[in-house]
Formats: sequence, C-alpha cells, structure tokens
Amino acid sequence: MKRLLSIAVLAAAVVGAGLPVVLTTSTARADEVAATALPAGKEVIERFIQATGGREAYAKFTSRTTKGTLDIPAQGMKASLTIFQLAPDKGLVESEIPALGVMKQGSDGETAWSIDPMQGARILSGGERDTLIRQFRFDGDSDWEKYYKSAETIGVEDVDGKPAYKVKLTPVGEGLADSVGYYDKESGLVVRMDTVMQSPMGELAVVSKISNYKDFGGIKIPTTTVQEVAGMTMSMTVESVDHDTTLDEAKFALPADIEKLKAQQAPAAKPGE
Amino acid sequence: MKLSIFGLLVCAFALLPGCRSAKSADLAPIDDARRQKHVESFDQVWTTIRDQHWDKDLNGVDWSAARDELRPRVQAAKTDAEARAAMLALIQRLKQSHFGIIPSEAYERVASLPSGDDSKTPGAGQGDSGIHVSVVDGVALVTEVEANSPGAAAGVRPGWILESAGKLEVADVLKRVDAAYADSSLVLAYRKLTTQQLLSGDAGDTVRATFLDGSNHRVKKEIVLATPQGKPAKFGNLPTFYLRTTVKEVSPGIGYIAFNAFFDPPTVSTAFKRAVEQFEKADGFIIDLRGNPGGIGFMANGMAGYLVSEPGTKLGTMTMRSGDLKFVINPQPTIFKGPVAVLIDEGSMSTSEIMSGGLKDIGRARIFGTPTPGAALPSRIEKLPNGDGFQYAFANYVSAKGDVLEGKGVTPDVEVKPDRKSLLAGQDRVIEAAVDWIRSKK
Repeated sequence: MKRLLSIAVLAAAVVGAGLPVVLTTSTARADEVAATALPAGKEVIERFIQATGGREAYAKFTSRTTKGTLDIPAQGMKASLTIFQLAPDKGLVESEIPALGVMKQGSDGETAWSIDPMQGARILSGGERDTLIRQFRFDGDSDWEKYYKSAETIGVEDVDGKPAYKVKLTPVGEGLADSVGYYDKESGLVVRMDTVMQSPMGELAVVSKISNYKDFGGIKIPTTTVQEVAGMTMSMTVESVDHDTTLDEAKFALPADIEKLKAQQAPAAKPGE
Repeated sequence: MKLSIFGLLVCAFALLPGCRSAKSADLAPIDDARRQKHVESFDQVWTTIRDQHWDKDLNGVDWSAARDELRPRVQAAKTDAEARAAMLALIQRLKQSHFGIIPSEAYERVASLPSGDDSKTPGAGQGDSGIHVSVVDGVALVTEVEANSPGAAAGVRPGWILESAGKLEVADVLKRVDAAYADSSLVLAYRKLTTQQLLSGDAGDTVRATFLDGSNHRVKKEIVLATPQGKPAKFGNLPTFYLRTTVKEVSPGIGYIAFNAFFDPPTVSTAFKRAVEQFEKADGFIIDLRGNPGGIGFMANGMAGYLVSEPGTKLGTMTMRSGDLKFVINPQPTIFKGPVAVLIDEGSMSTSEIMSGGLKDIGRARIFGTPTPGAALPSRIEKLPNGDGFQYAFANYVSAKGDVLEGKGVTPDVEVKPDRKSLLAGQDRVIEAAVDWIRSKK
C-alpha cells in the first residue's frame, strides 16, 4: 500500500498530493454491505501486498529509479518525471515542465524540501514533511502498520464498474488526515486512492484512479494514475522502473539554498552552548 | 513544486492584441461539420462554467436560459465569427474578467513562427510596433518606444500623442470603448489595450499612424511591424508571449526590475532572484509592473519570498468550489529588507494586481502610478473542439486584507500619471516619485 503512495501516486509527489483524507461516501453503492460482513482492513491490505509480489519481493531492493511522464491534456502541458529512492528513506523527485522549469522535491531522511524557479526554496514541515519522507521509505508496504495506526474496511463501492473494498487508513502522527483506499475485490489491487493535498497554501482533495499494473522485478506496479484535483485532470504514466540502480548518497544531499534556509531557521545557540 | 503544476493562470490573455480575431478568415462561410464543432465547443464552454465556476449561482445568471437562447445561434451560424460571437455572448453574461475565446487563428499564426530568440522575421505571426501607449486625460499618450523597435525606426518618441491609425481615429475608438464598458472597471484596461491594438497586426504589416509630436505638429508615420522583441515563451494552451525583462540601477543605490509578464519562471523568477541578490544592500528596490497583464499567479508569492522575511505571510487567498488556497510567501535565503516601491498602471492586471495589492496590504511596499482595472480572477485555458482556446476563471481572489480585487483593482498609495512634458524631456515621473520616496526613507 505504501508503495502505491510512493510509486503509483508518483504524480502526487509532484503536485504534493501527500496526505490522505476521508471523503464522503455519497457515491457509495446502495447495496453496500454492513461493516460486520466485510473483511478486516488488515486482511485487505495483506492481500494487496501478496497480489503485488509479497514481502520478500519488496525486501529485495534497496534503491530504485522510476521514470515517467505527467500530462495535463486540457492545459496542453506535459512534464517528465524521475524519482530516485535509496533505502531506507532518502528520495528525490525531479520533474521538468516546459515553461515552468525543473522542479525538485527531496529528503535526506531528516529534512524534506522543495525547490523550483517559481516558488524558490522551501523546507517542508509538519504533516507535509512527514508525508513526503513516508513516501520515500522502502518499508512502507511491508511494515505498513508502522505508519498507519488503523485500517478499517468501511464498505464496498464500484470503481469503474468493478466492486472494491473501501479501507479507511489512519496514519500515525499528529495532523495527518485519513485516506481511503479502494481495493479491487477480485484482484486485491488498489484501484483508487482518495487523499488530500496539504501544504501551507491549504488543502485540496485528490482522487487518484490507479491502473495498468505491470511487473517490475517481481513487484507489480501500476503504470497509470489519473488524478482529479480542483476540477483538473492529470495523468501520470510510469515508463520504467529500475531496481538496485547505483545511486550515490550525495545525490540526496541538501541543495545549497536549502542548507542556507536551514541555517537561518535554526534557533540561535544560547550563550555557553 | 507543490501546487505549481496547476499552472495557475491569472492573466487576462484573451484581452490582449495577440489574441485578436482573424481579419477575414472567420467571416468565411462554414460547412455543417465545422458548425457542429462550434456546437460542441459551445456545450463545452457552457458545461465547464457550470461545473467549474467558483460561485455555484454563477453570479446570478440563469445559465440554462442563457444556453437555450444562445445555442440556437451557434447551430445557425454561417461563419466562425457568428459562432464565436454567440459563445462570447454566453460568457459575457457573467460580467467577469478572465472569460474569453482565443480564436484558433491566433495559434495558427504563432505556429508558423520560427522558434528561438532570433525569430524576428517579418511577414509571419504577430507583429508589434514597440510603441506603448496609455490613455491619459482622454488622449493616447506614447509612454515608451522600445529601442530598436519599428516605432523607434519610424522616429516616434515618448510624449507624442497617437491620433489615428489606419482609418481609425483614436478619439472615436475611445468613445466606443467607454460606451461598451461604462459600468466596468475594465474600461481602464480596454482603453489602453484597444489603443495599443491599433498599432498591432501581423509581422510585416505596415501601420499608417498620425501623431502629434512634441511641438504639436501633426506627423504621419509608416510603421512596419515586426515580431515582438523579447524571448518567446509558451505556457500550456496560450499562444506565444514575448518576455522582456530589464534590471538596472535606476538611480545611484537604487535597484530596478521591470518585466512584461509573469511567465517562464526559469527566466523571469530567476531574473527577479538575481536582481534581489544584486541589490541586496541597495537603498531601495523598484518593481515596475506597468503594462504587465499578469501570467502565472503563484509567481507573485514566489517573488514576494525575496522581499518578506516573516514565515506564513500571505498575499491573499484564492477561493474555489473545492476549497481555498492561500498565496503564502516562502522567505528565501536572500531577502531584500529595504524600501520597496511597486509601479502600476491601467495595464497592470491579474498577477500584477495580486502582487502589488498583496505587498501593499501587508505593508511591504509603497505603490506608485495609476489604479489597476481589477481583473484578478485565477483562470485556465483549455482547447475547444473547434480549435479555439477557452479561458475561464475557476476561482475568486481576495487580498490579504480581505478585499475582492475583481472589479476594484489596486489603488496606488501615490497617484502619479504619465506627464507629456516629462516624457518629452525623457523623464519618467512615476519612477522619479518612487526614487524620491526611497531617498526620503534613507
């Protein structure tokens, strides 16, 4: 499941979808079954882990490079996207959008940051920071209970005409909103995630439709994610996933402007310290 | 990076000369297939506004009745112009800025342009005179003539008054503009843009214009238009825009930056960052947004991050159906802490209003110039089935102090109009007022 937050929802890394949210269930099926008849959330997630390759497959790798594209067809925009991940929790997202420039978002496992020509340099804090680092973590799937304090199956709802279990995921930590994952009843795969994009600018609900799972080194990874955000549709396509590529730790070092901001934001040392 | 992907566009692009309709192509008869494309486009426009407008009540307009009335006009249209007129009539019912139709011809013209900085070949694409005008006290005053431009080559000078272009008398045009927009703050913008448009056309076209020179002699000039100066910039579904950025020490110890649009952050935002770094220790910093129609909204708070050191400060708030987004300022590693002056005029729209109004509201800048028109709705541009661009606002914008900018604009702290005598003497009264204020703060 966590891997979906870090890979399948690559686009979320770019738009900062990040934190999950519980959306209302106004579109729920009328025949939604009672909660008592549903499989436990934990059971649904464990089935998802198995369906995508299992814990052993997940544990095989310590680095990953994912490449893809992000399209906003109605706006005539297309971005390239590359995500670098190094176990246990380092990550770097690079995207280039014509006319907007190169945008980067990353973490050395401690400090999460973003930098781009339009908004400049920024150190992420609070839930925004926690979410990004969580997205980069390699054990997010296999040790999902470390990051989510509960997973509750709350119903069944059709996603593109096929029934899926709705599981409310409550993350560990203060100020982090819930998310709702939709797990296909037949395949066990996540087919939709309802989250919320959170930043100092505010919150926006994000609905991600997830499909076209393909096998990359024994792990099934969705290669198409279509997101609806604020009335706009974005489509992320994964083109390649390379495991255990050579990634230097230096790649995840903080950029100079982030280091400067960090120094400026550090509390002044008290005399004698 | 977060949110920037929205490409939040806050530019009244559909108002600009580059988006004018084709001269004759849209008057040609159309066939049934083309007419059907227009009907599909009308439906897309109607549905998009119904679903995306931030106000579910659509500013009080009976939207279904508007469709029932206007859709038959598209179905019966004999030309592109008639179909577009019906679509425009629909969106004009809202009486708000940032709703417009960009004719497909505008894209076709720019598509024929060579790419790169040297794309100045006459005879193709949009043409520009390099002459900037403002309507001051009822006359079209030339406020700037770009160096090496067709206007400069023709000998036009700042301080001259444009009287006519082609067969159109400026006075008549202004009367029509004033009549059409009598009840709208946008009249300020349309006076300037429409007058400016008299001096535009396709590259290679010749505009025959009459001016009053500095001695009040009537002079006739033939101006051969050329591709606009500056760096061509593309953003999503917008036609090409030409970016010009100027950074200089405008007076000893005072930094100055001017840019004509909020596009291409790698160029414009980076220039802003470098200007702040260059003038970090200067006595003052002037940001000239006169004639800047806006662009990408989030560039405003990005730039403000080089002027404001208090984390969490916001320029304003964008309100959508799906929630609010705050234009939060992220303080940058290098911040200019001295006095900041922002220059505005009736051509400063959208993102320019967000930036100037926001900096004024939080007390970070003193504003000089003339009032802005109040065209500040965040918008997007989508392609329609007929090939046209459709610009629509999807959010309202409220300044840091809670004022809705749309229809009201930004009022300068110090109102300074362009002055003919000063322009003829090679002076810029607005810049001088800002310089004087900065000097007084030392």
